[in-house]
Amino acid sequence: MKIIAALTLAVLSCFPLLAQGSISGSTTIQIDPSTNIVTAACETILNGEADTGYYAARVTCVVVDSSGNTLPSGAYSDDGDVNGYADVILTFTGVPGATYTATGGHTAGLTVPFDAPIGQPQGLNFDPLNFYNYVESPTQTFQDGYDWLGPGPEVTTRLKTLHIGNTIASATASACPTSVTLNSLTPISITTDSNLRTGYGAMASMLANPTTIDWSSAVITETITPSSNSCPNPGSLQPAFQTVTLANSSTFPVGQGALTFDYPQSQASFPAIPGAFYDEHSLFKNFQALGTGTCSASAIQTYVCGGKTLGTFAITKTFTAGTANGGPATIVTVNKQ
Amino acid sequence: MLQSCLAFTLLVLVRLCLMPSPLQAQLATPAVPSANVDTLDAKAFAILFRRENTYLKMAQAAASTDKPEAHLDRVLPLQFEIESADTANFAKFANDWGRDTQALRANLLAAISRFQSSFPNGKVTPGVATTPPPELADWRAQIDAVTLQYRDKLHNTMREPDFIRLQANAEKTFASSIQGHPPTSIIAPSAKEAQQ
Repeated sequence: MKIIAALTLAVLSCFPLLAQGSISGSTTIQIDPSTNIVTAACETILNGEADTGYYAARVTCVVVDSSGNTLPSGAYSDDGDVNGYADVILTFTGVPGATYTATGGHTAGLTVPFDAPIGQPQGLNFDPLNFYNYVESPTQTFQDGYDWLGPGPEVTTRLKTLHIGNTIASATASACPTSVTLNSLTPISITTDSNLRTGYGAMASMLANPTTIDWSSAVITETITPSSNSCPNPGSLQPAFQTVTLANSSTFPVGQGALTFDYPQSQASFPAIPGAFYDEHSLFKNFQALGTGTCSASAIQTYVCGGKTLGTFAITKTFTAGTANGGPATIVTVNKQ
Repeated sequence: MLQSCLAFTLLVLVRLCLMPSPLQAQLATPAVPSANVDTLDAKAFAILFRRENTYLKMAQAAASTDKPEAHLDRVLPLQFEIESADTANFAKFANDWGRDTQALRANLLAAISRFQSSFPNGKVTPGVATTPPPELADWRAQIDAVTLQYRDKLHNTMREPDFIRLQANAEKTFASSIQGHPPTSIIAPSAKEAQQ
């Protein structure tokens, strides 16, 4: 029994090897997460008996964004069946959050005419594997890739090219940075504004990574959760941090400069840095908040985009009684890590 | 081709004769026959090597490093999770594969040209033999054999789990439609585009 089954399987297995011919179509699209560079590849390949000179592989490749705008496109014909395949590679820099769809159109060019006897229709082309069978309207479209087996028997057709189908693939560029890291922390002196009796803190420059991508459209928000406070309670340094939730958070604009929050008379400015945003950590009042000694308060901050935490930092504000701006003052310094 | 067929027949016979009982078979882990793996890999790795060569050529031809094309050398290592330690070998084997198969392809083209030169005025006419000579299948088989050789060379230089992952991804990406799991048609046809 086993031997009969083996013989049957073996014989059946031999036929496709001898007679099978197919045309493969594939479309792939990749987005490099570190650069947002989009690469689409569309390919038509002649396999087996389809690669015997009767057909030429042809391919078209079109990329559209989610609004239907056509981006790069291309076409290639391997006429003469030189390579046995035709491919188009398209590459461009994508926009964060955008979805791109590549569509490959797969066509077999018929390269050998059919010389019909006099009295019969003329101007025909020879299609030995009958790929004409797949010429449909609308054209069949498959996800990622497909093999169109030549069903045979041979046919003739007036068509010179047989558009046998399409393949399609999509990818979405990340809308959010992969992480946020501390670029620099610049202390801001209370003397920046001569009206202050309590202040100031530091301006944090934060990197949205990878910085090679323009994240200006990314919606980066924060949460701040106070964690400790050694300052007098009750007192004007309680709380030293306002609780911030995603619901009441503002958005950090990447790639823009910043001004300090202080009274407008003496705002300090910070220049725009590509790939970075500013986050000020300060406290300022026009009265002396701490009469003597020193105290501190801490909070945990997270940066969030698209529901994903990009980075978590511990912020500490230290308050020290001293003198500034010509009189007693509470000087604020900030550490962030 | 005949020799390949006979060899395959013998292989199937031996394998089936050594098959366990049905109960044992149920308990055993199903395995893809190596002949099928080679069929898939001959296609998958040929596309993989060819695409690597195309990407590297386009990257080298990029006008400047800030052009998107200049980054094409990263695409396949990223897509197929090829470790950085393996990318140089991958690129080298792809290049060598291209060189070796180009010569075989030239022989295939020459055979096609000889075959088609028998058509009167370059046209198929009734009564003319249209079946391609077996020589073409032999050249294609040689190209497949070279592809599998370079697959194996790559295998020998990679850590086993890394190669298994690459092989699975390549088969899934480039040969899934010949594995018996064709993708679903997402737009159904309704009528013939044109009539003869």
